[in-house]
Amino acid sequence: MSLYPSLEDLKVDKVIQAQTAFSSNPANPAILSEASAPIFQDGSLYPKLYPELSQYMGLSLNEEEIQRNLAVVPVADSQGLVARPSAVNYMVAPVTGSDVGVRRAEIKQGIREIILCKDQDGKIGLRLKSVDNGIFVQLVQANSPASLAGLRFGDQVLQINTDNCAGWSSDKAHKVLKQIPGDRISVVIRDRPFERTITMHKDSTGHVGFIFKNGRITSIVKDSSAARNGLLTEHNICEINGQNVIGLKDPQIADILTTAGNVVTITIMPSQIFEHIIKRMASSIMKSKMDHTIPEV
Amino acid sequence: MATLYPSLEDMRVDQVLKAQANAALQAPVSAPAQAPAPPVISTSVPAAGATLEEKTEPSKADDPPVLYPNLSELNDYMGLSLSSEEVQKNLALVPAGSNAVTPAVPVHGGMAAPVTGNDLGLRRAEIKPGLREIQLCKDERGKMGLRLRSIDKGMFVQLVKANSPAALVGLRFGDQVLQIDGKDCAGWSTDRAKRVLKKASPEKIVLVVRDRPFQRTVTLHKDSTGHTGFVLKKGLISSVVKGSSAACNGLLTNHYVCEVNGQNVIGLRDREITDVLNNAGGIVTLTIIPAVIYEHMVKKLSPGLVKASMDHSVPDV
Repeated sequence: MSLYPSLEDLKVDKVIQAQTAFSSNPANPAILSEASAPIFQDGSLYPKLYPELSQYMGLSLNEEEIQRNLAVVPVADSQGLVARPSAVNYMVAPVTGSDVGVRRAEIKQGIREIILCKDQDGKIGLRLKSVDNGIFVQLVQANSPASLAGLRFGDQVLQINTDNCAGWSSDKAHKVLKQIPGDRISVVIRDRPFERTITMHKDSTGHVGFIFKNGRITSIVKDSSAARNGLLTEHNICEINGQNVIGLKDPQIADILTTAGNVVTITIMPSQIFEHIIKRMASSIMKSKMDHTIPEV
Repeated sequence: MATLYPSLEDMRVDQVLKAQANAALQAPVSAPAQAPAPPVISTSVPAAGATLEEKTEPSKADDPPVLYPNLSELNDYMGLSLSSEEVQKNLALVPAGSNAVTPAVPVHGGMAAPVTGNDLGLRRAEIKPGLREIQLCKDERGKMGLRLRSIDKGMFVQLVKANSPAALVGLRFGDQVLQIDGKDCAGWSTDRAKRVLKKASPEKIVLVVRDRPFQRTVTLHKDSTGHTGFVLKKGLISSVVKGSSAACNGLLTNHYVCEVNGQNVIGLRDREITDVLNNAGGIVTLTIIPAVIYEHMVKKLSPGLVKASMDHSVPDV
């Protein structure tokens, strides 16, 4: 899926793609196909290099893990023409490597278009909320068309079928969604603008070092990975390794943290904004209906 | 300074790796004990070199003029004032070379940007999603020109003074300071940070910084009348014009404008900010911050000080 810095880019690129497709006949997917190429390299380049790292900074790293990750990052460029679709791939990450949680959680800087359709009940499974004259995703229901399309809590909806959503009320957005014909709804999205991700590493006791209450981070453990990486209090946890945890009970969130690998990427949002977005949504709806599936990368 | 990492652990380990690789290279014969596996290191170094070369390699433009002859139709599209040369100039940089890697645009490299292209303002404004390490020193009066403030147990840059050491190393309003000289700042009070900075060695202070976590960028395009479509009141976006680029791109009210094309405009008068906007090209990238967080961040900072001393220079890319 292509990303764009602005809506104008998206539109113009579409025109160009249409023109290219037209001028060079139907069978020309050249531009679209490049964004999804996976990067794979063999892992045998760094045998036995840094054995002493396993105890470094309280990390519980084993050698195979490091080698696996090392092999993926700095070498991959030798292929030259591999498209690098995201910012994560530009970072030097000898520990985190190509961790799947980081990629699942990544907030991409740009705008994308998705196509939705309604299910047999005429529902999309989407609740929107107006914040500061923008429209935001408040709820994505599990197993709904919205969840299949990859919409997430906190996404900003810029356009619905080419109508700008700027200045709409929540009610107007719902009305528009209700009245829209169900077979092809084009929605232009900016990826979770109020959220950001922080990648942390478990220490030898399996902790990253923060305490939360009702999904909100209340304190940070001294000298922990959370403290080192600048996790903040007064923020709500939206996702863990890209998996939505909003509306889950604290023990459930703790379970997800425990079962996650050594690298944990959490997605957080300032509590003031979080509360604004979930305002007027019954907590029972949040608990029972919110989509908590693990996204595909 | 330019290397980015997803976490501090990554950075530290990478530094160890680099130090080891260096040590092994400098003394391959005399100090075999330091180099655990010389043949392996020699393969790793060319690999790293290849990475760098590949990043800076210019993209090859595959004759965009032949590909898109009718771009003049786009002139009036969506109120854009595009000349076909402009579009083609930018096209050459991005999607036309179907496989070519876009040069030197780390985060935006993955984006298709036929209009924005390789815009300088976009790159200046870019908020990189990782950590970096910077080294500071004090000036002859023992000052760094940096004011920090504690927010939610984290330490943030509240003020960077013009022409100060802090401004020279590229610190910006809203940067989160994770470590000072190897010590975690988590949980420190504003005063404690000030004390630590005061006591720090004047020659070398090492900061680990996360790039402006509370801010985000929105790229807008001027319409044929030169407007992007939002109204400012004391730096705060108070309304967005219907149908404008600001509305299309989802600019929000109740946000303060921190930067225009990467240039800090905090503390400037609205008139001055408007001038900066007018002088910008057809593409304007705004860096914005939610009002609640902004107000928290500038608390106890006198507006006079902001106006008089805030660094408003245009950053290097």
